[in-house]
Amino acid sequence: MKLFLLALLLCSLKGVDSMVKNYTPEVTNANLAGRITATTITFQQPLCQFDSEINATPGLIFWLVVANSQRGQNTFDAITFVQPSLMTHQTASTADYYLTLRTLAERYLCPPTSSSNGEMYFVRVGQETTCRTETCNVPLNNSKSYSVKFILINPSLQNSPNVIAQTNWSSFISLKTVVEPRNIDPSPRGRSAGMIVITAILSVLLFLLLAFFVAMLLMVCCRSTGKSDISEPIPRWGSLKRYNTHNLKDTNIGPYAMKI
Amino acid sequence: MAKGVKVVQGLLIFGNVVIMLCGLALTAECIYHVSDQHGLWPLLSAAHNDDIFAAAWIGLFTGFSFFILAIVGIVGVMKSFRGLLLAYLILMIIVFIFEVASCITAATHRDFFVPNFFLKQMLTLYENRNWQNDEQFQNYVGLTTAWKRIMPENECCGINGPQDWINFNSAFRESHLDADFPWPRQCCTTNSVAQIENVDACKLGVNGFVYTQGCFESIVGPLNRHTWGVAWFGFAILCWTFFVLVGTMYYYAILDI
Repeated sequence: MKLFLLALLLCSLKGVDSMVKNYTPEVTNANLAGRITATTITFQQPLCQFDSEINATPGLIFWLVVANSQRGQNTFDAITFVQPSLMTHQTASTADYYLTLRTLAERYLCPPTSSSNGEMYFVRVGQETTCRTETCNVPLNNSKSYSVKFILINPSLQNSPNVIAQTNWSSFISLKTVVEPRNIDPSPRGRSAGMIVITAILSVLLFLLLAFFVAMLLMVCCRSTGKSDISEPIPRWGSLKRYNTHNLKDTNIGPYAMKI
Repeated sequence: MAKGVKVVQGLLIFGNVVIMLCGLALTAECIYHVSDQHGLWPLLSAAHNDDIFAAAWIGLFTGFSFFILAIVGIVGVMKSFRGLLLAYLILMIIVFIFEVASCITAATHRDFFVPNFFLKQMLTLYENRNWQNDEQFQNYVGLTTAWKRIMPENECCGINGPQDWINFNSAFRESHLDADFPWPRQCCTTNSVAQIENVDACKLGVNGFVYTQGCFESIVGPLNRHTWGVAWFGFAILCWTFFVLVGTMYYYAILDI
């Protein structure tokens, strides 16, 4: 008789306590550019975890519990009757947890293998920037870290423990901390070899050119004071014909050459 | 003596013909650079760092001056006009100095093209609406428009990738929420009729729905190529011109011995 009572008690206890699945929500490991941003975290969907419960009772609803502290986790875990409409993001500031992402249970059934090719299953926490429902999925607060778990609720149960099954809490996940652009140093990483070569060689060339030019002017000036009066005419192209039988001092004889 | 002089004359004329052709080529190259086929000027202008275009403008005019002066030089050498040759030398040296400036500016400026330079500027100016005056207004709008065109055109996003937009705070972030606009919509892949394929997948950053490549190469590639041309081609012309000018000086000096 005693044994029977104990067994009954155990059975009822099992009925009261919701079943904690050996599953921990995880940030998706898919190669997503926006896995974690400053206000959102993308989790893997808890597919295939609750198939027996979902198939046993129709009309079950999934909720995602988002907690931003250990205290929030503990507070939520102590609750037996979960009322999602009273646990929205509006109460999160005091309660440190809230419920969001109401999902029909069938959505997290194991997908048929045929349709799973190319499909991706994510849950993005913090997605809704404009709230349309009370329990909307508001952007997360960048300064906090978050832990989530999925719970399966039977909405037809009133005033009695209504959580059919749940997952473990995920670890606390910090959001991306953004860097201020003014902290970026845009200065170049030193001088390139090409720039140094060009600058050095061109400076030398320019210096040489000017030096040669001055030397040339000096040479011509000095010579013009004491130059000899006989000089060989410089050949010129373009005039009718070069004609230099006359040792004329003036080399500018082109047009007159024809006359002689 | 006369034969030696003729050789010098021939060499100088050849040298000037080369300068002529190179001058034309430099002008053409600089026109191409200045015309900004890739529409990158707003990116540099917004950061007041468009010296590269200044270098190209200088190169454009010096190239043309080289062309004209080379003709003057050829005439001067052929006719042995001392006055003309002196004018040629003086003008050439002036143009030479300008081309040295263009060359060094271009070469120096290449070093500024580091990812962080474009990143900082993109973050602070893209979609920035806090302009104080007309100039800023034009710069900001020009930069935003340029970015909105560059990203879809080159199928890239940000400087290093879409992460740039979520790793850093930005003017864009101030007006666009992180959850809705982790990056601008221009980062989303589009179908053949230029419609975004899948906005939600793009927001998540799923491969194939967002351009994961950064735009740095698409921006700096053309700029670097043009700058390289302006700098090194100008440098080559200057080296050649140096010898031609020294030869002309020699010719001028022996002209009435």
